[in-house]
Amino acid sequence: MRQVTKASIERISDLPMLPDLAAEVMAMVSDPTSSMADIRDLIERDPALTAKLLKVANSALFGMRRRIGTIQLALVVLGMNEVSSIVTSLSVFTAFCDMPDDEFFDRKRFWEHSAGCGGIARILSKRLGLKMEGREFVAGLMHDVGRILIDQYFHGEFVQIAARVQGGDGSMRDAEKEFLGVSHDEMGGWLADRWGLPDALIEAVACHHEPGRAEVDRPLTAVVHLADLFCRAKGIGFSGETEGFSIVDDEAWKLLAEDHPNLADMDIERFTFELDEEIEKAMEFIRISTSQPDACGEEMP
Amino acid sequence: MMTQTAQAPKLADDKFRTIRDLIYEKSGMYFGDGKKYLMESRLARRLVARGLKTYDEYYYFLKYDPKRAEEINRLFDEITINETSFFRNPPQLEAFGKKILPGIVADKEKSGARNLRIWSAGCSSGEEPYTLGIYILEALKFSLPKWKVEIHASDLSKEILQKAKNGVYGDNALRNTAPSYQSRYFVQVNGMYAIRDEVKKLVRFQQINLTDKVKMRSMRGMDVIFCRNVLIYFDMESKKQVIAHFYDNLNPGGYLFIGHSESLHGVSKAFKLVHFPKAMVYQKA
Repeated sequence: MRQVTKASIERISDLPMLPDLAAEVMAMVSDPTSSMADIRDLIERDPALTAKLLKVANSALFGMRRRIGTIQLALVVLGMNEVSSIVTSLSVFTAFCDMPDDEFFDRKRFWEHSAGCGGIARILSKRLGLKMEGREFVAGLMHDVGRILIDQYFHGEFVQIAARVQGGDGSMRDAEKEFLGVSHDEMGGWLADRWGLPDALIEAVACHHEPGRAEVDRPLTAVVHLADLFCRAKGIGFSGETEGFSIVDDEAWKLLAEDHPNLADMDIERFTFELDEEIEKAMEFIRISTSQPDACGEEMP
Repeated sequence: MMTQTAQAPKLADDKFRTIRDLIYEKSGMYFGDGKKYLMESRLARRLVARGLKTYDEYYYFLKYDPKRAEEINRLFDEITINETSFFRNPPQLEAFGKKILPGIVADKEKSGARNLRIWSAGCSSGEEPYTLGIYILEALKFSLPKWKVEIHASDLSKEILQKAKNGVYGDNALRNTAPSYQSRYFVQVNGMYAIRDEVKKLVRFQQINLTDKVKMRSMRGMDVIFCRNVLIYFDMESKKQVIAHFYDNLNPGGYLFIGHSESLHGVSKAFKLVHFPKAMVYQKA
């Protein structure tokens, strides 16, 4: 059944695609022969993207003291990888924004969860001193996109899955596997692969429920997994899961603690309180991403 | 230029954070950036009361003045203004009523030990223990007669306990109570609401000082303890002692609820922190 589902995904002609420019920026950043000026010129070809990128760079998400007025300055201050991550994050919205809402899927809540997960992943990686250069934000933003694919292209199954979960009968992932042979995490990984995203990102999306399976960049997957849990703790979860959990008993926490013994002293309560502000910053990212009519029909409230 | 008397001095972001951090360090109570405006007006009242002009002066007062311990308690009075009501802080009560309580009930059904012991420590005028009683009635329903339910409710103040025992409340105490619960669990008398006997008889009130070691040792076998917004008034040493007692008072696997913006970080490592949606709860390992 999994193969059948994968084959049908591959046959879909209108699958959301990463805009060409984002793919080009990503390729250029990883190409040692390209210069900062090349990347700047490439981004500046798209004035709408340029404007949004600068808004994000000047938003509370980065908390810059000095205003970043040009792409050139953004590349110098934030670095090429971080800028490329912002371009990818903005592009995720462009790729998905014209997908309609439906009664079983609250898109606004979905993106709040996704961006919130990105924002929490961001602050968590910072606290741990992990240099993830915005990959954690992209991964957080994209970790559940498989759910949109299921809703959009397997709607009949999606409704059955939703009914099963609402009836309190098992987890959403189990229901997805039963009806489609594949769960949303794996399906999201297929899309990330199709988009040509780096292996670490594909893995973080595909393994965010089972961080122990990650091999390419285990800390990245672990951070996204924990950010997803913290979303639940802050009441912006999207799995329907409301059971209590202990963060220090979580597999991802233990994986990170192996390399970061200082995690044992972390004030998790205070970190949890402080997430309100991080989530607010991530909401600002949504507002910026969806702020212009040419990107996404209407502005999100 | 001098402005009119009631005008509060402006609280700068960095000053707010310094005072917030001091409060957290001293009490374990956390005020997020979103609480700045609320804090501004309340801190301003304390400035006036102490005859201070700037938040800086107030910060130094809290940190170094010989009367700092007294002042921090006055500040908490100002911050928390006894905002007690039925169904206060829904996320915590959801975690208790929808997850923790059914779990305990199911475990005890299995073992055959059909008793529930809950303690509301610092119960004030009784809204909290009665709310817990309503949750228990909702969870047990028709099997209630098969259970021995004890909700122990304690406070330091005799006067407030008398009010709690009377169980009669005004509109304000019921502002978070769903209409269906109002009619099911309260009787209206002369514009007031009296809690019904079926809830009342589950609750036992007694005066307890949480630093009284003898009394504390007598409270055993608890499944859940609620002690919300009480520990902020204790210094670190007494707080550690109270929490150590609570740990002993609980059954293995039992839960401790503290105020929704309070933290036990740095107070005790004995408990396991459990996250529920918008609520943090401590579990005895």
